[in-house]
Amino acid sequence: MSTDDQQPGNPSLNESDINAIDRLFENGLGSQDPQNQQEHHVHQLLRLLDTPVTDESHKDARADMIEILARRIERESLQEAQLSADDADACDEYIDAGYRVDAVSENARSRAEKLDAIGVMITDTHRVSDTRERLVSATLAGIQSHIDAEESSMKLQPRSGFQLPGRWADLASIAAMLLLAASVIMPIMSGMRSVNQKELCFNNMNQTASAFGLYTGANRDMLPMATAGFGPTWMDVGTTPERSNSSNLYTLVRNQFAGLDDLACPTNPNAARGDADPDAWDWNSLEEISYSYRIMPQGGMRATAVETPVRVVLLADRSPVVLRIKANKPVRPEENSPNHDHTGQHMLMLDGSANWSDTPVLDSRDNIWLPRAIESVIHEVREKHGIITGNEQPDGPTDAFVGP
Amino acid sequence: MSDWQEQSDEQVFEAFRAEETGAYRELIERYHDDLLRFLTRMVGDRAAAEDIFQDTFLQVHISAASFDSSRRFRPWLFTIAANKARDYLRKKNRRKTVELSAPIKKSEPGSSFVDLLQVDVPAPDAAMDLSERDEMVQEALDQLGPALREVLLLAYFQRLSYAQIAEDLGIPLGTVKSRMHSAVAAFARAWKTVSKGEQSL
Repeated sequence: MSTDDQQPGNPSLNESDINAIDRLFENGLGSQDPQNQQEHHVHQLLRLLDTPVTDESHKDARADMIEILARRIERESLQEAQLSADDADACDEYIDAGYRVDAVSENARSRAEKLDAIGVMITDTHRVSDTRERLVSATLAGIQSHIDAEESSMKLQPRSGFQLPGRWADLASIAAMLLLAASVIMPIMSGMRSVNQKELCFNNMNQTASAFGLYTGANRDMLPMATAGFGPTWMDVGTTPERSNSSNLYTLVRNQFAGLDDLACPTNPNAARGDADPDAWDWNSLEEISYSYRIMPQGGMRATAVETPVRVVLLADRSPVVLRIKANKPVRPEENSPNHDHTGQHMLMLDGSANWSDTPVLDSRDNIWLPRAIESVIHEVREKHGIITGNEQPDGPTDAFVGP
Repeated sequence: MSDWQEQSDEQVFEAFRAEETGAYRELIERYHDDLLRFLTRMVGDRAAAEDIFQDTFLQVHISAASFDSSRRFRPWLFTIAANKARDYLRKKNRRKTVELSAPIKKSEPGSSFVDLLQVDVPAPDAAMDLSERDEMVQEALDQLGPALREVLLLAYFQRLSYAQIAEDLGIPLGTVKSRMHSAVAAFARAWKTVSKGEQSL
């Protein structure tokens, strides 16, 4: 007989007892002596119930019998545990006193102390703080996934019983009402979504700040770097890890100071997530990268190298300049990161602080997407030469150039 | 960003409903330790407790609009968590196995009563290996039926009065008292067995 026949939640018999019952029923109670002590014990119990089960027509009764026996045994076990009258009174007094031992009467004090000690044992489990950051982040991420799923499946449905009106004018006005409702609902949902995504991204910055702190602490203040130098270009993500600056950032993942999820902005659908390949030295492609890392100089950089770390950007939402260059598109120096719909970018500073900025240009007029040399050229063009002066000519018939 | 330290749970929850950045994270952070401990004790499995922890806050998020702001947040949160834990245990189909070969003796008058003064419960500041104590407490709790375990944990983790437990569980006050007495007795009996290193039933 299978225990699957029994209702979930009810007590069950172990395998050997069930087999013993089966053997007794198959052979017919009373027709054959029990073959072992277990069968003998079961036989004695069943005889107490005086239930003759001798033929195939009583197969269901076997299952019922086992159920009844198991429940009776469990009830016996539960009934055994009862508080003494003094303990019951002390329990009531202790709870009525708000679980305070000092507030119960002298007579009940020692028993209340036992109740209190039981409470401490039950509630004071340790080792929960070690998962705090991970679990909080995972919880927020789960909620975000739920919001994303809700948004993608959200449809405006007419309520049940809705009847199509006979006139086109009525249909048009109803459609207008639905569109108006959508125009209200969508921004609210979108607003909630972007708030949560920003929150998660900000959380990533904080997580990565901790990772940087741990890494530099273990590496004599040196910021993460995969190799002492790199080749022609730091933009070659995934092709030759010893070249790309992203492989320097990936050092945190490779050495398990951070996870891929910590470096995955929720707004990047192509971000690499989950378990990292233990043999990987870099992300596989530019699209997988969510955050741009400070370009490491040859020989590396110490976290203590500058006197004003609060002004040095260590990490930011990914650079739009690099993406445009790789896509052979014109660069817009002051464009915001594509993360968060170009509304701005998070920045993690060298001192561990993180903030949000709606421009890539710092207060010091330093553009985080560009090196100073190129910024100087742009400044020179703008400030010394202006954009146009009124003396320019089109560069031939195909040069589109209008004004004033 | 608001200074959350100064604000009550209910105020932070209202801030979350008003879409203030960081409010929901603050709530999750506040309850991480207590709720995770509660769930671990309820289901006896840390990984499952973490999953239920996430499910609980997802449910809170989904049901945010329906929360009555005149109520306290904590009992509402723990009620959702307890429901989720109960669902998990039901799905996991945790059934106590009983053995027919175990002796079934007729109860003598007075033999079924537990006297707490005879139970060796370590004092809160007693020197003891906490990991070992954790495992023993869990082993003792696992011997309680789900209903007794739930009332015991809800009472101790939230420090609720009998009336509050009755309201949260939707059962009569008298039932709460007797169930609490049974739960304490059952735990004390189980603890006595576990702490002496005997085989449990």
